[in-house]
Amino acid sequence: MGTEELKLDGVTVGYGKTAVFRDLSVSFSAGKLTTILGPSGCGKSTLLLTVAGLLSPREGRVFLGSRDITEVEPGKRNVAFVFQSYALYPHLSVFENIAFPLRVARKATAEIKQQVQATAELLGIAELLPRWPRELSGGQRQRVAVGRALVREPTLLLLDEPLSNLDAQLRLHMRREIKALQRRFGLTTLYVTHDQAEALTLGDRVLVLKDGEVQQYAQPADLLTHPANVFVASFVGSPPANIASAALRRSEEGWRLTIGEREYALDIGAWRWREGWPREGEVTFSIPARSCVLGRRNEDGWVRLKGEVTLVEDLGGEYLVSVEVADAGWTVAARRPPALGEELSVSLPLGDVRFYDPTNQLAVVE
Amino acid sequence: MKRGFPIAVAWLAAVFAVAPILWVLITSVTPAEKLVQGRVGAGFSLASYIRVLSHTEFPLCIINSALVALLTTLFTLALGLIAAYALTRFRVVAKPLILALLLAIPLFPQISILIYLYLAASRLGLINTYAALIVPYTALALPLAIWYLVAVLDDIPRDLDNAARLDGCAPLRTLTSVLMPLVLPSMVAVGLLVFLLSWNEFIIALVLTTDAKARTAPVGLAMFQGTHYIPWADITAAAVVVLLPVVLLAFFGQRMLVAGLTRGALK
Repeated sequence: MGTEELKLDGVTVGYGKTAVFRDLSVSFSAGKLTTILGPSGCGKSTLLLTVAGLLSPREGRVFLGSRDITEVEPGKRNVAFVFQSYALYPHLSVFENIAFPLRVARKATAEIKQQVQATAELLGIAELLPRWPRELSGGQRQRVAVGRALVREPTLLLLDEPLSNLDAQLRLHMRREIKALQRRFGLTTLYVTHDQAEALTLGDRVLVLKDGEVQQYAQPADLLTHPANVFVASFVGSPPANIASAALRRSEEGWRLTIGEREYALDIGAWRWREGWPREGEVTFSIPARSCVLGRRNEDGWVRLKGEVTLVEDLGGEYLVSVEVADAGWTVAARRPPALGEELSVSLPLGDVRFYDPTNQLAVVE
Repeated sequence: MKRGFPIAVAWLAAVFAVAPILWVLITSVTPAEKLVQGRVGAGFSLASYIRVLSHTEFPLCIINSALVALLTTLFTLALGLIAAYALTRFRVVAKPLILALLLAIPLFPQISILIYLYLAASRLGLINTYAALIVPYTALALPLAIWYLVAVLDDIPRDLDNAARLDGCAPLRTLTSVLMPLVLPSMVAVGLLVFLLSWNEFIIALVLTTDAKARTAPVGLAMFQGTHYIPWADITAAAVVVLLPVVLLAFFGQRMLVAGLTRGALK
């Protein structure tokens, strides 16, 4: 199995106004697992199908290592694909399912047998080889699908929401297993998911997509601490960040921020602002939900807002509290549940606040 | 409603359908001399069968029918599968029009195309050959096969096609190695129907064949009738012989037929 970098260069898929991507350029590091995260319809599966060659880009090139594979038939790309539906061949035994790509490649029978056996043992499904797909549980089918993908020693592994049909516990288990396999072979891997917990825990890097456009391409931790725009802030994190607007004002002592009815001094000495910032006027800000606390914190560097409790969800030992704050619906984690309809204060540390340009929603601090 | 009534209706329908066939069966084993006297069912003799099978050209007609029906079935299934594959898997220009035209074919009364079939066959020198029958039979059976196989293939998830393609299959290989095994029960069901249609077809065979070289069984059956005399014993014996494969196919194919034709209806 090789490890090659995958690169998309100016790729456009689809036509006219219905184009899924326009001029998409992105590269995926060799041997790394990249998760592709986005809401449904954002084009993440289309991206995978394009890399696999099942969809042809209208413009642009796809490179695997130094090889231009844009025109290469899917079967000759040495790309393995695990489908959400697993797409096992129902009329073939587990052995024949895994052997299928080798049979198509006209490998010798003995070699096929040995390779299928080795792959099955690796995945712990050797005893399933004589069975039929319909006799297997979801988790077993999943393993067979992975086995069929790995058996021909691919250069690139593509997984399209591979765990979404499994129950929660199995999903957690398979997640670790896939990660371990990927590490072991050092396979360049693209993993599409709409589940951000999956994306953040599995990915060496995460590509966040929305409407066919890259929102952010970063390491998981950076997505949480340094979202590139309002969408990423409000989409990533469990619960995602809270968003509201505020106003910046320049005073004699430096920059001041107005949130709600109060004004706070901003200590922005070390911040690296984007061009044109800071500037006076409206600004959108985000604050990670887990940075917020219920109640008043009177120390310096904390912002206090008033809110009304609209919903309390019990997560078992922890409560997610929905609070109507500054005309926006916020979510705050709490140890103790407040009463519904209660008026209370929400405090947030100024140091965790990130600012965005309200006109284009992009972060204004690096 | 009490259950007695529907059961009675079912019995009545069964008797209504089976009675003529039973009559034929009984007539066929009645000795000829008793039949002349109008005494159907008096005595038992297989003489008519022996005469029909060994002293007439009728066995040739059976062989012709079998070959024509078999080849028609094979061609129809092969062409139907490929056409249905193309219609479901590729971007085909005017696909709804193609399907509508196919549906229109069986709407024409066969008698209206008979003259043209005859002219075409005679121009091509195909009168009294298998080809003269197989070609129109296949053409008439294809709409049924295509419509049916399109529905069945449409039900197969495209992920399987994609998986096969990624595993290195060219379209033909995908069709033969992945899709065909999955639609096989449906193909058997369609095949049985097509075989029976072709086996029973009369009017086209009557017009396009001239003697036992290509004459099919239903036509052969009609030829027993003389100018002044109707050999009832021979006709009924031959009829039973023609009927036999149909009954056997229906009997053994019944489960496949039902399973295949209702496939996808209950999901």
